[in-house]
Amino acid sequence: MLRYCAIRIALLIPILLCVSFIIFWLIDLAPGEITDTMITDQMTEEDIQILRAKYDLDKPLIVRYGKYIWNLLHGDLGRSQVSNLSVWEQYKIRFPFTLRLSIYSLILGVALAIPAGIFAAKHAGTIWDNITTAIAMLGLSMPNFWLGLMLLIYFSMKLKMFPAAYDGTWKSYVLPVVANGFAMMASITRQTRSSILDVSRQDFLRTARAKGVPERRVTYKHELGNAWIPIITQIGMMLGMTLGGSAVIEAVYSWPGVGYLLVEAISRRDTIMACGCVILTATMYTIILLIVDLVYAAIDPRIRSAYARKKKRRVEA
Amino acid sequence: MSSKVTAQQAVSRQYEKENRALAVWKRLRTNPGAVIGLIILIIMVLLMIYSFLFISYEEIYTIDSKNRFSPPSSEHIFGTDEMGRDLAKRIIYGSRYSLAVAFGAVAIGVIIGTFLGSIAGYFGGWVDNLIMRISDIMSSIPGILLGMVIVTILGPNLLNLLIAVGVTNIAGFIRMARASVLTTKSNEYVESARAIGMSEFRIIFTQVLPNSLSPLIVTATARMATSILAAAGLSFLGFGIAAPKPEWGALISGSRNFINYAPHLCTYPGLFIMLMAFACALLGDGLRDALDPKLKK
Amino acid sequence: MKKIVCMVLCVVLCVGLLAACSGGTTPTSTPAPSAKPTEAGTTPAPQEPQYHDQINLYIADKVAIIDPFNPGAQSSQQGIYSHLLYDTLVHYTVDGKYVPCLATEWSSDDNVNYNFKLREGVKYHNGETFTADDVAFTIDRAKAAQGTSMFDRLGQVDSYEVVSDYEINITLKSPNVDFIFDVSTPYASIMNRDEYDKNPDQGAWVGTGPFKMDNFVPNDSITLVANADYWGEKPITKKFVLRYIAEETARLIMLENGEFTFADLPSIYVPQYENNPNFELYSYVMDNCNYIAFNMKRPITGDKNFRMAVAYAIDRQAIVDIALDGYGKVVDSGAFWGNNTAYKNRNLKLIEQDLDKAKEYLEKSVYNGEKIELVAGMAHTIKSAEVLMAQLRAVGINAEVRKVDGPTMAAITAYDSNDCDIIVGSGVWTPLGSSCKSYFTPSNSNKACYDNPEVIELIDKAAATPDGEERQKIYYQIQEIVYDDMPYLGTFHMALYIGAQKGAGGAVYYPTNNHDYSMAYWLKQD
Repeated sequence: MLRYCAIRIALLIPILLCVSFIIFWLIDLAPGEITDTMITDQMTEEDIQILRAKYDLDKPLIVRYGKYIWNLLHGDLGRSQVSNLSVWEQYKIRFPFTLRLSIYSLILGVALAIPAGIFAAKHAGTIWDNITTAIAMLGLSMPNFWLGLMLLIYFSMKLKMFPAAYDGTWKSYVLPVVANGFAMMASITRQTRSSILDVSRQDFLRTARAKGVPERRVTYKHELGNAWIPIITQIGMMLGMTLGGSAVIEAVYSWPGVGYLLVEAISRRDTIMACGCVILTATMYTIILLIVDLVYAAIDPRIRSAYARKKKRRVEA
Repeated sequence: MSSKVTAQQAVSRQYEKENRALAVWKRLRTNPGAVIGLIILIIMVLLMIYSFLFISYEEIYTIDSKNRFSPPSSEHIFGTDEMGRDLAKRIIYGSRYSLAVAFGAVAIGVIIGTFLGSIAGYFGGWVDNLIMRISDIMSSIPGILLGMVIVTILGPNLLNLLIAVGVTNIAGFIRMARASVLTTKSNEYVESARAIGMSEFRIIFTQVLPNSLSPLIVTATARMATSILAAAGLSFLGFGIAAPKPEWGALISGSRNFINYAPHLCTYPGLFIMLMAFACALLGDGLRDALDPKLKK
Repeated sequence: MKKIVCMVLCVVLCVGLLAACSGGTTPTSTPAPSAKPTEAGTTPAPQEPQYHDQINLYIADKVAIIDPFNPGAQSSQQGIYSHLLYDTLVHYTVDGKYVPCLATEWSSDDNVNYNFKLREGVKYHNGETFTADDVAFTIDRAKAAQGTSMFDRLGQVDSYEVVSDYEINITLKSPNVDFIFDVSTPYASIMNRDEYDKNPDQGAWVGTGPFKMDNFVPNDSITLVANADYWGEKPITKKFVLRYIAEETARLIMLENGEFTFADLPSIYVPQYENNPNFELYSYVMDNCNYIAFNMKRPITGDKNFRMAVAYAIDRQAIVDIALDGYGKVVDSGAFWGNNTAYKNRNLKLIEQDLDKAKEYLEKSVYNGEKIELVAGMAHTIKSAEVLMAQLRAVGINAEVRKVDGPTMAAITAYDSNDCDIIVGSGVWTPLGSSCKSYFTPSNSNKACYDNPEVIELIDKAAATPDGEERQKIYYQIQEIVYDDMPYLGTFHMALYIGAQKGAGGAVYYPTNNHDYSMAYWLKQD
């Protein structure tokens, strides 16, 4: 098991190397470089060259990348070219906000979606099923920034119930979490419904019911117990997606998360910052997927035994 | 000899294909969700055709400073925007961008993704490894970031927005196509195609891929919905189509500062994005059920 | 069939629900916002005004780092926090006078050699005493800090001589009458050498200003507390929080709810605040001039007839009405000059819209239906470009808006490699006529690539001419030549509106946007 985790994380390294190179290269391709907005009218050509040299822009891309990677290998993500602040420090300050937003949204989503999904599956084919599915579908199709703006208008501006921007209180979490969580809820509801429907056709449920297991227990223990895998995959995917894609909702709610760092880094051509954020986000994403895999193993004895068998085979060999 | 056999095969397969399409259509017709989705999509396409025929670009950019922010009325059913332009016309005109993104971005994903994915699945070995690592790399860069960088490099216009969203679709289709090819390639008819000396690429594209079509169609339809949303999100962040072209996400982005003053400017484009994505999602669901009757009891 | 009806109903219901939220629950009147309720028991003494301890100020741009020697620190809000944290040698009042600040006296005989006598007994926030050595340090660092506003102000210093702890002589590279203005801007604030030596990353957190740094969250907020040992007039408020909020709507809500004491108002909301007894409204017209720059190096825009056609095609008031919701000032002269910038030649006639003449000139020009891109980068310039596009199209110019971001704009419009036809931009002007230098001499702000040796010569001459009639003559001449060449068309000056809580005031609004909030207060309301 440990070995498996180690391999997964080791596989991340070449990916991160490629990803960072791609980002370096793409930002280099983009018109304008970080120094362009800094050039002032009093500067001579020589001054401009001095300025560019400060940002290593006089060196070719591959040299800059090499230097970056060399530092990275020493555990140094570098410093933002704009603010001269350590990328890691900045990320460390902001990531918890993004993570909190994602996790709370997810909790909200899961808390509503799983009962809703079960409800829809239990009433498959009825009006209730259709209503739940339709709401879920709407949630999926609603642009989250639009929902965010609408919530802002009604609950913040008109009703003054919640603040419009992050202010440190629990209240400022409500609107972004709802705006972010609605789409999650929608997709998890759909996933729950369909996996429960899948499971419900299986024989062991008939057996359980025939044995006289109470219906509630059938639902929660047998059905849900076996329908978990795709639901958890979905949850993991959603978590990964919001971690990387939170920029939009963060923009609406002036949320001090990492999405903003990224947008800012790109629009200022801050290569080091952009690269660092992507590397860290990709790492987080991989770790989440890994956790999802581990959760599979924890809840599904079949997968657990598969790991064990592999190990045994290796020991025997 | 072999040509005769393939000709016969072709005829029978053609027949089968028609039959199958008909069956799918019949099943789709009974699915209310899919029908609603299809109707909405058709309406959108009709609106787009209408806009091509009856709304000139002049009406989109011409400014009427006396008529700013009029609320919805019988003259302007969705009201007018901050430049006094009719919002309904702008939204209708903007349908072309959303439809273009919906189809174009997915097409990019499908074409490149399935091509790479099927090669990976069919050949296996290092080709597979290489392509899958590419796919891993692509999927570990957050889509919105990749989109932003691409738009920044290429400049904000429709084609580039389309590419930006399309590129983020590729990884998903690679995996999708690879998985389907892996399951179909060991089938007997592929063996026989190989036996009669078909080239590898011909086998992939005439024998293997058509048989992995249904999951592809379903995913493609579902991706249309997410592509529309992704494009709207990029536009909202300012990485979209330049004004005065009325892309829906840009309409919301442009009017969000007036949201308290003239909420209709934000509400209607949002509703249209939602309807469009909703239609694609419904159709995708319907198609999944229709193409895979096993799922439906 | 039933199912379909059901699903449709469902969609309608959900949409209706959202709509209902807006209709039904809107409170009819908003209560007076008071963020910090006054304590119920204590009644304030009638003669002594009671102030809120904290002022929350909206800043219009993010501050990534506080360090005037770092090119990355350049933010449009640098002037605002610099006024609070630091002092300059000379203070420039909003009505155009120089008053002593860290320097008590200054003099120059030839506009090259300047002598400054410094104030004694001024302490930095870290307890250090302010001396001429700190001025020397600031000049040294500024000269090596290419790409900063500091460099722009102090880079012109050739050498200096520290006469004593409280006297310094400064020699410039070339004569500049306006050097005193340069050192009076908050971009030439005096830093502390010891703090920079001890703490390179946060050296700029220490100044001599009326407020001390308390907490800094990059790109988000700056928290300052009053400096009890300030040498000058003591600040009124105890705590200052400067905060950046990206979303305009959120900012407004925060002002409405009392979370901001001062916040810039989007022009569309100005009418709501004009007659609102719960808020104060401050406004000023910026010196900055919005312009249309024609790239003189390109064939079409290099043709005077084409530029004349554009000049006759545009309706400036319509641009202001739409891009600024009417809250701006159309340029009052044909000269491309700042709103209140000195030596403005108001005799140059502004060309008014005349579509027939525009078409006539277009007919005469080399223009032949090519696509002309209007390059714009900022929210309000993009909007102006959109209006402009409609106006140009009305006379038959096939114009399109091209939206670009900051670095792209800088790269594609750089003086040596400008390949854009028309740039719709916003140009910085200071109260001094010499700010025209950026636009008429080879530099990156010269978006028109305007290069006229006669003008350049006159500008150099003006820099060495002391204020007076002679100087006015030179600047008038420059404006006349530029007016004839027409590389730029000035369009409007932006007006800025600041909404404040009832009883809040004391801020000094400079038309250069470097507002001085050091004496800002917020009176408690009964």
